[in-house]
Amino acid sequence: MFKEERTDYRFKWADLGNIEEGRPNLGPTTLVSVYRLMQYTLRDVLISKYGVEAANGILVEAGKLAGSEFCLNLLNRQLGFEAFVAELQEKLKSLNVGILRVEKSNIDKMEFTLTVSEDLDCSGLPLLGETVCDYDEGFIAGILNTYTGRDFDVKEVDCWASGERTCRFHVKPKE
Amino acid sequence: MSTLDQATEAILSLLRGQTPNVLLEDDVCDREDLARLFQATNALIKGFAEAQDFIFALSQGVLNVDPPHRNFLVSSFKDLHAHLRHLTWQTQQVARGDLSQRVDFLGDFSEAFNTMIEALREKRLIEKELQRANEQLREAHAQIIDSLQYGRTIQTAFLPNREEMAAHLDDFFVIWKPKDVIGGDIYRFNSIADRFLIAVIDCTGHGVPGSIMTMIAGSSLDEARRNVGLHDPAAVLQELNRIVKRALNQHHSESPSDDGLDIGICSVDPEAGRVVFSGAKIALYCCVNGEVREIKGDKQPIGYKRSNVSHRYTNHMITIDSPMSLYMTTDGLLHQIGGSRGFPFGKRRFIRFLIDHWAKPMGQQQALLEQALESYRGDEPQVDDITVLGFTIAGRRGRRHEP
Repeated sequence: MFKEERTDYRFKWADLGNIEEGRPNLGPTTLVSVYRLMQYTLRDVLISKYGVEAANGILVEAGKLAGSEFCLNLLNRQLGFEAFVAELQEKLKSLNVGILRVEKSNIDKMEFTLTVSEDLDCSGLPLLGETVCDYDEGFIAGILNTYTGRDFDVKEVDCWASGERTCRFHVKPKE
Repeated sequence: MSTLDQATEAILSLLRGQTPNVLLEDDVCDREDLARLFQATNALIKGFAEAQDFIFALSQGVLNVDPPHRNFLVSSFKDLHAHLRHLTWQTQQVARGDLSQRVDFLGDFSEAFNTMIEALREKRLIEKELQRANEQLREAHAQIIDSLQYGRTIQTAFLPNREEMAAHLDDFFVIWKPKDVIGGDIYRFNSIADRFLIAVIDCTGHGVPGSIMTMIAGSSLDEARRNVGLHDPAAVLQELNRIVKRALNQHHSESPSDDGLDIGICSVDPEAGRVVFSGAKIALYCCVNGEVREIKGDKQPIGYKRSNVSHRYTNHMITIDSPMSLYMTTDGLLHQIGGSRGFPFGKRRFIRFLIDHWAKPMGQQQALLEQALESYRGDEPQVDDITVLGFTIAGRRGRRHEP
């Protein structure tokens, strides 16, 4: 199903499987450290094999695919923008992904400044002096692309790993 | 000052809340340990200066400054800054009417904000309910008005034909002015050969109940007239009383209706110059040669449980030798509140009006009376239905107003 040679993406939400059936005793959750173990070892290998820029690009692209599927399967795309953001905030909170907050928005231009606190990917990481939430950048872009039908540039400007207390993303439509 | 003293003084300045000048690292380039001390002190001075600017802006409520990057002196303030920016955005959303937002993990403020949003949501629900109820009321009101307007069409059609009246009367006017769209006043006109019967009726109430009563009163009067003829108005009233009481089942003590009417009725033989008037609480005003004579109706009304069905109403015979103007009015005119002291228009004022204007053409009298009434009423609302009927009989000696 998954491991054949190809150039297109085929991930479906159903590929996540029936977790309730598969993990009747351990349940659907795990530790954040386990998630990070997977992400950062994968990133390490990607960097060593393909370089930093390519690795970052792969993580952004994967995040975008995840965001798109997340939006398709867990969010109501019929809602108005404010209600959609409220639902997204609630969903990210209930799934323990992070605390999404909006700092600024210009609906006419579709430009936003978002913050994510207690982020799944980075909050609590040692000080690295650089932003690391490439996957989050893609995730946000994927959600907004699927909701609006437009492509977005999402840039992380502050990150826990760069020494800030919250991750801050500038979002604007792709030119 | 020694290099160590410079560094010490710089740190003490920072502790006093003052930003010192950056230390010149060239002064200690020959000592690696002192150079590191100067670099660290300068980094502290820079971080302190950034922190001071940022915190000052924050204390002034200025949120559009970006927090200094990689500055750990103000980590908690950066959190506060981010929270305040978010809360500002949330508040702007609420001001725009978006009540889907909520605040999480901001301690007491979260609870207060979310409680406020919940209260606003409830208020919006109540407003929507009120708006819906208001729309239903408006719709119901429109239906009622439509219904009343159609009722007015029917009630107006029930009134006498003016052309028929004009064919029998030398000159006349009618003021028919219900308090609402429809009302409890009515006037009637019937003619047989050269004789005619003219009546003014004031039924119980006004609006819809009053108008229903006018239908009963009008058709009952027609029936009474058919039963006893035109010549004897008192007999017509007695018959009318019987018919109305029967129509409203007032001969049964348990009948819910205790309604009735006042009426003034004239049987007129113009050629003979003779008018027979009978009234039930409505008077006839006869004007001739500048004098007004009021002929009061009986105190016995028509209908109502208390009226006596055996009561013989009084006929008043008026012989008209010279042109005479005759008037009947319902109490809506006489009881209309107005003037500087809010007194009723009153009978004396009405008689005064008749003395002044009785000889004028009836159309002119109508205009003057309406003008006098409106002027007297001023800003007061109309208190009751108003009907005034005036007509002229030329009398046996000839006609006063040529057609």
